[in-house]
Amino acid sequence: MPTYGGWTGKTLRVNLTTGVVSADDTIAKYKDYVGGEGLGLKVLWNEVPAHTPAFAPENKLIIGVGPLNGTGLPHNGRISFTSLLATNPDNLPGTGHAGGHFSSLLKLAGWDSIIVEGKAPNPVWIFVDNDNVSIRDARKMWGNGNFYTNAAIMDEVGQEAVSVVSIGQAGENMHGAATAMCDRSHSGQNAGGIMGSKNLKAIAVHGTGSLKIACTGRELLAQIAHHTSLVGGTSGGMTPGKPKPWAQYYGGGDWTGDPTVWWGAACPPVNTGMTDPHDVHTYAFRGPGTRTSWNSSDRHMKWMVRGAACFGCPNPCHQAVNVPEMQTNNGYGQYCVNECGGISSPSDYYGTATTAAQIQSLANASGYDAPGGRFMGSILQDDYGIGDDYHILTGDFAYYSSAFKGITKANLPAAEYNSINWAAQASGDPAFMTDILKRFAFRIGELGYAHGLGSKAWWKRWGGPEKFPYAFMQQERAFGKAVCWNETTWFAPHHFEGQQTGSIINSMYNRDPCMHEQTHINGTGVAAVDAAVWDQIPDVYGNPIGHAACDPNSNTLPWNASKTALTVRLAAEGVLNNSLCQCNRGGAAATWFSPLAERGYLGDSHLLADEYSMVTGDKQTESQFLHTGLRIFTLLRALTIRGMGTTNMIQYNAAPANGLTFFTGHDAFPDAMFNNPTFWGSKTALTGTSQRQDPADMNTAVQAFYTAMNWSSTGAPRKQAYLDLGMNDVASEMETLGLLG
Amino acid sequence: MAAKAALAAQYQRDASAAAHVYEERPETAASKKFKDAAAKRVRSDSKKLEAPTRTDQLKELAVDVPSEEISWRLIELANDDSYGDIHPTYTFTGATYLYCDKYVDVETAEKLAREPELRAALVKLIRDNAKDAAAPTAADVLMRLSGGLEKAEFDTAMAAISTDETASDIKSVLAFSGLVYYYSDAHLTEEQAAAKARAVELKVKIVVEIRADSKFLAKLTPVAWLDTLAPDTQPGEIEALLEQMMDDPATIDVSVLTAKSGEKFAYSKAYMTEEYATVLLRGESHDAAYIIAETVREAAEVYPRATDVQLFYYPAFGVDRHEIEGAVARALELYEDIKLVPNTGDDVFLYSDRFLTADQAQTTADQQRHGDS
Repeated sequence: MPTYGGWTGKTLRVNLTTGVVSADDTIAKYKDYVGGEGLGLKVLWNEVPAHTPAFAPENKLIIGVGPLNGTGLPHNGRISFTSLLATNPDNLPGTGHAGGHFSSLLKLAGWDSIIVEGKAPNPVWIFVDNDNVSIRDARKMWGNGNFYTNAAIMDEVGQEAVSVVSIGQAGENMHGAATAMCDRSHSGQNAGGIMGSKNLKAIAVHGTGSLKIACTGRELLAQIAHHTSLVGGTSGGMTPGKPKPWAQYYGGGDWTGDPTVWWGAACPPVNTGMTDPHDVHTYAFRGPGTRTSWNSSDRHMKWMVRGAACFGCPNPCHQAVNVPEMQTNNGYGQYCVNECGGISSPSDYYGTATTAAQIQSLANASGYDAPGGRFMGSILQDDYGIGDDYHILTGDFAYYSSAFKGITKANLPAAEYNSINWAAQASGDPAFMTDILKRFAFRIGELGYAHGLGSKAWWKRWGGPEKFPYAFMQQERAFGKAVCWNETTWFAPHHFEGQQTGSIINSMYNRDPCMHEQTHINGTGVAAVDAAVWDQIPDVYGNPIGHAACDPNSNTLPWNASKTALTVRLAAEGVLNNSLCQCNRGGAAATWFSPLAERGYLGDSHLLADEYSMVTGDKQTESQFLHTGLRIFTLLRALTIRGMGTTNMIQYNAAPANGLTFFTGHDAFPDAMFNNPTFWGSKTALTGTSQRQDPADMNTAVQAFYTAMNWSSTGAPRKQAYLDLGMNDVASEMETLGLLG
Repeated sequence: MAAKAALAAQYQRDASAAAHVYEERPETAASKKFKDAAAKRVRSDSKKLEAPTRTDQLKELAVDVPSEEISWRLIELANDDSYGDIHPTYTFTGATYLYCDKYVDVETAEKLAREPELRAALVKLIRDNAKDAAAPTAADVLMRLSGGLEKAEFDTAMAAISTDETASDIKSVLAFSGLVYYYSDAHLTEEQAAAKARAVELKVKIVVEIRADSKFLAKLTPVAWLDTLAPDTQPGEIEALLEQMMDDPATIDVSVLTAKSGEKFAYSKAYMTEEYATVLLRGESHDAAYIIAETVREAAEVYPRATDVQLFYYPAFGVDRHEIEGAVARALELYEDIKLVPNTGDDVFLYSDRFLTADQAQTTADQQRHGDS
């Protein structure tokens, strides 16, 4: 067996039922699937039978790490949590991703990933101290939140350089969307409940070794410099938010660094300055941007201390704030660290107060938008380990507790309904949040129980289409919610607005795909520049994708061959990102775009292949590596089909009786894309004047994608599709099961 | 600069020539005779004049020595143990001097070899600039010779030149900054030299000012304000200099824009993009409605997108935040193409219907409102 850099060669396996700790040979078993999500899916394929319940001991949780983690290459500080999903109606597999320092320390401890299986008889935590792996008693931590758990572990092991993945009370109570929190503020949604079901409170890692790489240190440093030079804003925006002397263009909302912006709580206060992309010393001052309202307002910058980054990240997306009023007003600590969604989502608990003016109004009345609200909500959600990805559940609550409050009243026992202090919600009192989040985390009453089922099951439990029509339920945007869903998948609207490509990628996953490639398609926000860049980016076969892939400013034009080529590349690249465990937020855009005018704003399309090759020594061209990505993507497809037991993944009805439900099946697209009257109004699809989608065009699009992937018209890979990707074992099993396309 | 480059080229040619000649050749009677004669002259100069001898002056002593060998034979002489009292000293111009150590020590030889070379180089540079560029040469440029001159050495050299009959064409003028410029009256009149010196002075001051404003203050430089950089500025003088500067490779980063009012502003493209300069230029109109309309049009055409009026809180636009609401109303009234995007809640978005349809404007406004949480 040849040796490679990047990987340590050992994947840790911990059986909580038997207490046995063992090691897998990473190269022999998982190299073809890279690491991270790919490795996790491969373990599920090999070891977890179809139809296993998510919370059963037979389900496994794979904490995946990739070969680039720990090298210092930019944006390689992520970990992935792959398992069967409790929130998916069929408990199909999916992956959540989190940042922090866990992945790099795990590599330095000598391990490539961790496979957790079985169920401990009592609450435990796992300590990975280099080669010494122990399963320890967590009973004193059980029942407590993430912050206490982190502190308790630090106290017990007495080492500062320890990274901790832990769960709060939501995970312990098997809340379906509970998070596994990494280093206190980085959340991997859906993994918390799985850990709770295994009586696993935490995993801590202490690594003091070194990581071998195939290239020279000088080459690695040169690549780090090159990659860093291509990095834009914290969410991948390639232009500064406001005009700058060095910039041709502006409007990237997450690039807030500016001479007018000070981090007021830093000591001394820091002026974020011009943030010229050529100045390597000011990368961190571009953000933490986030276009959430709290920090785009001058008055809030007084609380900003600094950005907080994952290992090897040049432009942190987390923001560390110091809000003394939070302690004096509400009795909570005055510090908060989180990113945009984590801080903005708690506003949803106050119903429909989602606009700046409404929030301001509440703030004036009650001090809600002062520290009592968002920061406190952020801290509580992190401590409890309650998921808030894309405002999914927070948005649901906004919906159920405001315009459709009657549904809540109808579904809760009267005593429970009356025990909720709705007046506090109306007045913006922070006490409302402390009450409501406790109900969710401990799954108290009907509200807590239903919340823990996840968005779709909650909706069905409380009445489904009979109580509130499906089309209405998909108007979440109007209620501050950023997610729609089809039968099995969450759709973040910015993944489908104007981008047929993003819609297709979404529909293939069993939760939101956690990949932002499609949101970065319009990288600079200047239509002419974006189109020019796409003429230079190759598809998976090395041919230019072409500027026709780019709709001007996301206003949809009909499907075309360039979009097919782009979607296939997106499918491959996104899952590669998540298998390398490279940040898919700010990091994903650098393969396509850069903020550098002298490069014509072009990124480096072979960045991932180059970095994988130089670190591991397994030389792969861009095209070859993208096909590795397609292998992983196709494995997810096989797992999904095997889990559902059908090859019929989509049905298209061109003329549904009620004007709704154009698509059904796993890959269905939400009707909100086509017919949401509130959202689209009188806008016309496919004319380049709106983001409204057309069902016939989407059917053309998905069929073109299936064809390009060598899948059947119902979305099932043909045998040759598996064989072409070197997946002979998968082809064989799918043939045996009668699940080939 | 041209003269300095010419000097460098000359050194290179000298070096190449020396390398060509410097090859093993057997001693001949003629070469021996030449070296003996040269040594005799060097000893004589060193004794009588207490000065080293420039090797050029020794070449006339060569008889029947191939011309390409002469330089090499002199180098041989300087390094030949049989002429142990003869040593070379090299100067910054590439010229070699020989001296006899019985009469001249090494420090004296070096000093006395350097002085005439320096004077000649200074005179040549002044003359070349006057002849080739019709320009006087600033003292600070001359002081960069030989890797930088001490002021005392420079003053001594120039004083010597002023009394040197062979350099009687070298004259000086005093510029308004107090800097002395030198010129050759064989090629320039005093008036021409003074005018040129003033122009050079002004260009330097202008470019320094513009670059500093662009780089450190991120602001435009009013061209009218540049008049204050020199006394007695004539109408059109600065504009004419700016025109020249924009064609000069040394100052090609300078650019000039004209505001709505007709007022001109300069900036450095090395430190500021044209797009940003245009933003600042609009601000100089002090007409908030105009600023808003032009910015909205640009956003609709370039990106294309609707514009959130909160953008104008940003200081670079030059709109007083208390004026925004009224200015938006005026822009909507004054400019027919500027429209309000409907259905944006409490946010106010504008677009220009020259470049965006109502639907496109609505969509891009929605995108900006919702972001990609």
